[in-house]
Amino acid sequence: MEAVFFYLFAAATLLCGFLVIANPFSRNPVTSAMFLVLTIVSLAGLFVLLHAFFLAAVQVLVYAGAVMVLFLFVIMLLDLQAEERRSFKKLALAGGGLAVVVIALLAHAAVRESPLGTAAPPMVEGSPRALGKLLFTEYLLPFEILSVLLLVAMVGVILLSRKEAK
Amino acid sequence: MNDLVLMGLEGAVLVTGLAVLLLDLWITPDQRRLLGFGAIATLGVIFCASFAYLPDGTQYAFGGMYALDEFALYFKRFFLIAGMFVLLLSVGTSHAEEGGQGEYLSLSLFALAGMMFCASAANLALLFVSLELVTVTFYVLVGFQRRRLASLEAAIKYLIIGALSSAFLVYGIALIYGATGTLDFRQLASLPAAVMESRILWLGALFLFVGLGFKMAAVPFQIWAPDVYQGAPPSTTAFLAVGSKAAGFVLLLRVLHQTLPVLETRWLHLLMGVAGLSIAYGVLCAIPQRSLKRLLGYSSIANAGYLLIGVATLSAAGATAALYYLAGYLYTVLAAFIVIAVVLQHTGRDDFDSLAGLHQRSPLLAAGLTFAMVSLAGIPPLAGFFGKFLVLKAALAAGAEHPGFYWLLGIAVVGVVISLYYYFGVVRAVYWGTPGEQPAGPIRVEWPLQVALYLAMVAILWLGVMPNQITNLAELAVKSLGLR
Amino acid sequence: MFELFDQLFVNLKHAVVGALPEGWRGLASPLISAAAILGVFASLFALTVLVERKGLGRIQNRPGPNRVGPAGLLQPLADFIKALTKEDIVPVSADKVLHFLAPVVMLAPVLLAYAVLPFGRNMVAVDFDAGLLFFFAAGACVELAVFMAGWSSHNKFSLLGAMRAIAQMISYELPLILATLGVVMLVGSLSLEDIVDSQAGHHWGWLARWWVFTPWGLAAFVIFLIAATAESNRAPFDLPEGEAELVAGHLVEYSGFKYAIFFIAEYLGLFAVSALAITLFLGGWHAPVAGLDWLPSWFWFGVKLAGFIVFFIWVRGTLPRVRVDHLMGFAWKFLLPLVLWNLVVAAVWWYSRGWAFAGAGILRWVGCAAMILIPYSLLGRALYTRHGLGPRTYRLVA
Repeated sequence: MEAVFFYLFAAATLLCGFLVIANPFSRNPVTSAMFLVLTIVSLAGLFVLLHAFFLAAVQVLVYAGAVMVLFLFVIMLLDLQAEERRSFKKLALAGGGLAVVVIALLAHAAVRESPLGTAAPPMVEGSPRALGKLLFTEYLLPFEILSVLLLVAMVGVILLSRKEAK
Repeated sequence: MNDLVLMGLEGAVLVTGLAVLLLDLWITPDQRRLLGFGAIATLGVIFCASFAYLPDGTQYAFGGMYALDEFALYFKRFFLIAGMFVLLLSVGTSHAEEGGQGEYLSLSLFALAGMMFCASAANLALLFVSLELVTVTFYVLVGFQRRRLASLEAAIKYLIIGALSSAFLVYGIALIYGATGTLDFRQLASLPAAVMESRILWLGALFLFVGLGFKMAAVPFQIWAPDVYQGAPPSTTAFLAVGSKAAGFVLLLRVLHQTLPVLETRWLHLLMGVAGLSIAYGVLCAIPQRSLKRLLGYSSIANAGYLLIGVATLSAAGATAALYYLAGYLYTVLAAFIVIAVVLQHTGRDDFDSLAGLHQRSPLLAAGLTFAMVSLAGIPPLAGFFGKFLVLKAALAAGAEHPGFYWLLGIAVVGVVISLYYYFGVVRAVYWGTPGEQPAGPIRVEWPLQVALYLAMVAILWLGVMPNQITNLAELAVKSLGLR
Repeated sequence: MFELFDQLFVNLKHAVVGALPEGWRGLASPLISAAAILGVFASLFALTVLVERKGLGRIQNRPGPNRVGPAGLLQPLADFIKALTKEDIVPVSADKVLHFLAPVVMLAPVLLAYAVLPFGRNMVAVDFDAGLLFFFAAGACVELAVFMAGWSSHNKFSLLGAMRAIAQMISYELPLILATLGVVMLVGSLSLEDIVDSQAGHHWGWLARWWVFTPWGLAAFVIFLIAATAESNRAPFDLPEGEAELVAGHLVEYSGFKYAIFFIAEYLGLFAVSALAITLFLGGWHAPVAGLDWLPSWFWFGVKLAGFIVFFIWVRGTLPRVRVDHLMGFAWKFLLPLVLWNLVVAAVWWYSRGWAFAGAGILRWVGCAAMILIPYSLLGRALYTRHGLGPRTYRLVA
């Protein structure tokens, strides 16, 4: 049962991910964004299969809910007609295909030699309490640096989007 | 409490950044310069304070997350010096730039703190987060002149390529974690040999190298460097050229020698190849350049190659050479960018034609640029020469074991010869160029920039003439890394 | 006797599940829960629409619907038949797929959110470790649906309406979630069951221990209520629809049953967020005073929910619509700082729980209340004077 769901979500993730960047039916940025939402939701499904419920909920709440909506907002405000008319660049397609092939070969070579299922067990089982504890003990320093990172992002956004002072 | 003391240097830089950000709210635009000098003075104090740390071996903080040793301290001092120069440069050129100088200062300080954390990272989580802090800050700093189209274009390019490199980095970290079950450098180092042979681990490490390669601007991850160098404000470019590159190298050295020593032999050919390609690409592409910033972009790629030769030798001598090379490169690049910033301000351009007659308009600038170019070209007795000399010496020594190094040596020497052509092209433009319809009035250089330029020139000369002090420090640093 | 009524629905479900063959039980249990939730709240929707129309009529001094059935009681049925039989119009230039999907994406997450709400003792479909987060994650999808509706209609009014709606929902989502955080902090769990359990027991032997009876809890409750009103696009925050200027916002190009689905989803969202407010601040299914806990738990939950519905109808009939810049300013400049400060007050409340000297309880309450009220009035005044606004004055014209 779990395996079925895994393959279902994994396939959905890959398919939607592909349709985000190279949708043969529509060059519309909004369509791409919608498929990105689907990708994110499928990823959340994979998290659920791993019993990481907290991460799954955060994934949907933050990415599908907030981040993607802001993405769409930007797409909506910018008029991206030109993007829609642009056709695929052959070179870009070839380059992307080559990158995929190379990485797939590398991954295949790596996985073929290593027995699966021997990986390390997770540090915490899904529960938000355990996750919080880990964040504030072992991973305190990266956590705090992340807050500086967010501050930098905020300052940067305000700086770059500020209206000119008259 | 002990943890906080150990990371006191970074903490102080962060607090300075926050203080600048807050103080900027209440001061008038005229006082902004004072704020800048205050920040520089604080960095100076922090730099002096770094000599109070005498780590006995390696000290760990935050549960092994953060490591303090001579190696980390060497790079922290390096970053602090770079930060001071960059702040001086930005204060000196501030009046021509649009508002938000306070933000520029504080963002530079945050980037500096990120680089210093990189130097001490002893956990892949901290490695990623601190590198991201550096990268995200640079997205903003590169696009800081948002009314200049070139600056915005550079920011977009850097953003996209930076995001790609971060994706590789984090995927690599995930694979390493999947294969070993730990992110901690010490635990990784003490893994049983069977785990070390896991191919998933190697793949993860390879992706990690890709992520770091972007930061170092080594071929084939160099694609962003020329455009971003050209478009970004000069002080940002200087910081990017020195700080971001060094952050990549400090992490590469630590991962290679301390965390996953199993990679040393596995990566030998990879490192050698990347080094050779970087030198060849950087040198060849620099030949037709007419824009000084772009030229330095390609030169930065070539220099990444020379540094990688030092790393690839996998010897203490090579690492020491790389560390010394970085120090020399720091002052050289800073001197060049101080001149570029001033020229850019006066002419609005940075191509060779705008340099014509510079020796009459400002002998100081002409001398500074000449110093930088001669040092980059590797002419004795300046710092650049000794750096290249040490690197090539280490490569020669390593050649006894791996004949491939002779090839690398050949590429490096040919690269140096070719680079003479374009570095001296700059010098020729400064002294013998024919000024076009340019207004040829004298250029007045602000005193902070004068101070910075004099200091950089003295440092280039001093490093070249008396390299021992720095090489001693570098040897100490390399020794703490566990290299023999 | 009490047990029988209190666990009536729980036992009913167990009986039905028990009667099924072994292999079906695992599947049947969640299906029965889902069907029950769907049935109860869909009929509550029909009832609410009628009550709302009647109530608004009363407030506006008119009779309201009174033609269909006795006293207009069959009006919801008539509306239902009308919505079903109306033509479903899709604009020619619309993005057909998104236009079709938008109502589905709107309704499905709202229904999902009900899964974690405890409606009575042992009456929760899924006791989920991160239940509160799940609730908000489901709620976040509504924004996406609004965007899909607005964008796919290819109509400038719908796009404008969608932009307004999304801006409003994102802005008010912050105070909404931050207001709940105080409770999460003190309970130490994101599970809604745990949060209800934490409100068991009584003060002085009679008054229930609800979070709303603490100063920070009261403040958080009020902020939550305001933000919830805005989240569910109810008056006085119903700008996204703004009939007068936007003709109906993102719903312009919807008609027939699709429109009805939006309508249902909006009301179900309102019930869900009211149920969450009850769970977090009003003790969930606990009785308000000690003497009344002989009534079944689900009864108390229903009473509280009915109270909320009446409150929302009343507010809609009473308050005029807010201007759009005031709306945003209110969220970002006023609610957000206050709700953040409220977390600090909650922390103070938590750390002062050990006080044991005489009058400690009162001091603690008054102190925390002052910690909220003083910044509240200072901030309010500062914003007022900044905009050059003063207290409203009336002048009699002779």
